[in-house]
Amino acid sequence: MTMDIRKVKKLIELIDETGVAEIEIHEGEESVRISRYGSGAAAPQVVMAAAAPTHAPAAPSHDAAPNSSDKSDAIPNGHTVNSPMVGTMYTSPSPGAPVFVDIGQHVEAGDTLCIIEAMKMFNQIEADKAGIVKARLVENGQPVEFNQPLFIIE
Amino acid sequence: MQQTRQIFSLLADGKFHSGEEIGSILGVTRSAVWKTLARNTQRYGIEIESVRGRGYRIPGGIEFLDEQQIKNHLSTDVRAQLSDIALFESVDSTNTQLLEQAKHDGGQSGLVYLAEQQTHGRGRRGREWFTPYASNIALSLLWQFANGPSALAGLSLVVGISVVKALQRYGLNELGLKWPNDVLWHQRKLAGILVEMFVDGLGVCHAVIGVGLNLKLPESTQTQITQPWTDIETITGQPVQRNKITALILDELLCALPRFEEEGFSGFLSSWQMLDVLNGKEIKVLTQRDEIHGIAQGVDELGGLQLNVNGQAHVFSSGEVSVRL
Repeated sequence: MTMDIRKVKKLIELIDETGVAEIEIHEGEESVRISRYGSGAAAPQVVMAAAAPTHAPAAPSHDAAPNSSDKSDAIPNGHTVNSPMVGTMYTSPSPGAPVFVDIGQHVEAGDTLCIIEAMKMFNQIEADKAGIVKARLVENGQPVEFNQPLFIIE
Repeated sequence: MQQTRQIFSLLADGKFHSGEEIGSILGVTRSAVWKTLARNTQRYGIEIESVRGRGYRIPGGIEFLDEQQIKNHLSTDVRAQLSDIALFESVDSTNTQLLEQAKHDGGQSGLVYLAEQQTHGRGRRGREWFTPYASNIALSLLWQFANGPSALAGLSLVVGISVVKALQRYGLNELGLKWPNDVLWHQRKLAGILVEMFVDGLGVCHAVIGVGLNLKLPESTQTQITQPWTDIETITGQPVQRNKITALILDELLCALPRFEEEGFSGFLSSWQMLDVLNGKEIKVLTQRDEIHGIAQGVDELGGLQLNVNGQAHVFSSGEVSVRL
């Protein structure tokens, strides 16, 4: 996705400041919709969609709420690890098992960060560089799009 | 294990062998044979009959996996695609081992891991998959794809189609596939498929294709399985030729994978349609957050499940599917 994460963050700030319920922006073939509805929580929801043939990862709407713990902090700058495929993101190898990585943890290149599943194919997403995991941008069990940022490593 | 396996191998023919006979072949006493069997039969879940004056036997016999026999059953043009076969007596999971191998020491496309027993066989999301000793098939095959994982859409469906074709060649009928790749016989699960992968620093995608096939599940295991299942011995009423069936699965996979690399899933779409048990049915798709009801409309050219929800078309790439009854 070419729409960069800072722009998305700006939009979230905007929606927070103005109290507007929902914004939708189109940029070329991509669009982003940010809405207060749906999650029930105070954090605005971000819905990203590629305009091309819709291939819903798991649910009819593709939701990708930013990690609720960073909603008031700035999303840190740094190296993003993006999803190489459409699917569902899992933070641990199986339900109830410890997560692969915690925020703030140091990782080496090659360490598994999460799993993306599609059609019972499980793709282990590895860190492509060493550093500190600054942010996780997708919640466990959420659908992700091709190239959607998953982690920020600094 | 070595000695236990030697005894099992002697008893594999299903005939009676006396403790003296076994002991003399192994160079141990009759009571050592008895002790080994007493200690290990329960551990491996093997039924051994012991009759005073006649000795021991495994009723019905066992066909152990044998690399040479498997290779003999492969068609010649497919043999070139096979890199190597490694056979484990007992292992946590062939997928786990092959994934480790691929990550740390490399491994070529066409490398196969097989096991007589899996102690921690896995299904989707950490679910347990039972592989009792010398009863079923636990097979993992490594394949490297030069393109990234997004080019692999539909791979797990292709694996399901290959397993069904292998079983059809073995003589089974009335098989079907439930999206994405449960192999079913009369709505009962016969085989499970789990594909695990990672991308290396050069962008090569290493996919470990795991196939678990129920050949003969002991009664002790049967009560522990939570979904409707069946096994091949129950279907055919005959002892299963484990080496032949393993070879047939490899044969189909090693033939399908190079074709999949060239054509993608679209080349397999018509095969899928023939086997799709969900098409036209009212189904429920359970995702991490939603439960969506609709009518299954086959799959798209990437293998995604097409669902008609109140007249609107949706496509799913993950989720648990069940048929609404």
